[in-house]
Amino acid sequence: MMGLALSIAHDGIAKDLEGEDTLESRVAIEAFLREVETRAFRIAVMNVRDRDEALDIVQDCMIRLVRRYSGRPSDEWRPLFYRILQNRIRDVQRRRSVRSRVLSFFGGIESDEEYDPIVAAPGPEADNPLDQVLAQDAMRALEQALPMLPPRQREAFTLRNFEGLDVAQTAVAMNCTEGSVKTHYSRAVHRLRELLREHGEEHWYEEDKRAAD
Amino acid sequence: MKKTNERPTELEPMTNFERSAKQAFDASVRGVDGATRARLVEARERALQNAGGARSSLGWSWSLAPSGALAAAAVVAVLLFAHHPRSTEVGPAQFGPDLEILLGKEDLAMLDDDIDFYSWLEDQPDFAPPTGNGDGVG
Repeated sequence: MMGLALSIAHDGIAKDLEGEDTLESRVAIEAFLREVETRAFRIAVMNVRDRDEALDIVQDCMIRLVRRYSGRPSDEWRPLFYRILQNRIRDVQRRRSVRSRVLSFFGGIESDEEYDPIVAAPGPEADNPLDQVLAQDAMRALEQALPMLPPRQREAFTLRNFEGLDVAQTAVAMNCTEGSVKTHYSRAVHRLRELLREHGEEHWYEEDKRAAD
Repeated sequence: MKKTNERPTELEPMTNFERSAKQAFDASVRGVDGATRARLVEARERALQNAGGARSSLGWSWSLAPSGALAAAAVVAVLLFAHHPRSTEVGPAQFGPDLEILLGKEDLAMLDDDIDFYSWLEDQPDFAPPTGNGDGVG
């Protein structure tokens, strides 16, 4: 008990002494979270296809980053945050897979976690109406193709392309080498182009083809 | 030597496909509705408030209730099976490890600890999830 009291007192003193630093770091991490939260939410929705679950995931990631890594240099936050996000997504998918096995055992109870295109679709604020429709169509096609990739390729594509992480940051986020990131990403791009071509999404690669010619 | 279609450096320009994918994603982020954005702001505030809080607190859960109901149903099912054993191919024993996953909180606690340590642990050849009788021993 005495130890706990001393610890609390020490924490209080430390916070008083570092008041300015604490405020600065709080402002910095809040700005970082504000920057990534919506993007992280979209990535979570694309993977777990449930808005509430995606919100929980993003909240967990923010809590863990703040608690465990707010003391680290701010340039490490992004790869760490996305590493936590990928872990949490995998955790939810693993639980869901187990849950569906248990549910199917009990007589095929319907899951209420069917893909909801309204939840997954962008809201009404994006760009002008034509751009919005085109972007929605493109994203819908991409969201249908992404689950067909192996998990590591999907992660590499999400982090490198959607989030714009560089190879080194993606390697930290995926806990693998930079060479593996390049391989996973390259294969992901190749496979996605194939899938979209198979589904008649010509506009995804027309310009690339012209450039290659 | 045949060149791959790899993009080895950050300096190499994006292909049209890559650019289109990024633009589509960015547009979908801009299109996230106001209600969801408000909940994300709440989540961020909770995260910042939790910075010095109790380690056991994990913030508000928007999806906790269905999981709780399912976990409760699974417990009841196991109890029923325990009292009424049947000779079917699948049974409660099959769900031993599954129930641990469903009911356990170990993964959430794990993420509270050092991520580098667990990354290292995953890479170890001897590390494997428990199999067989589901008791996690041997």
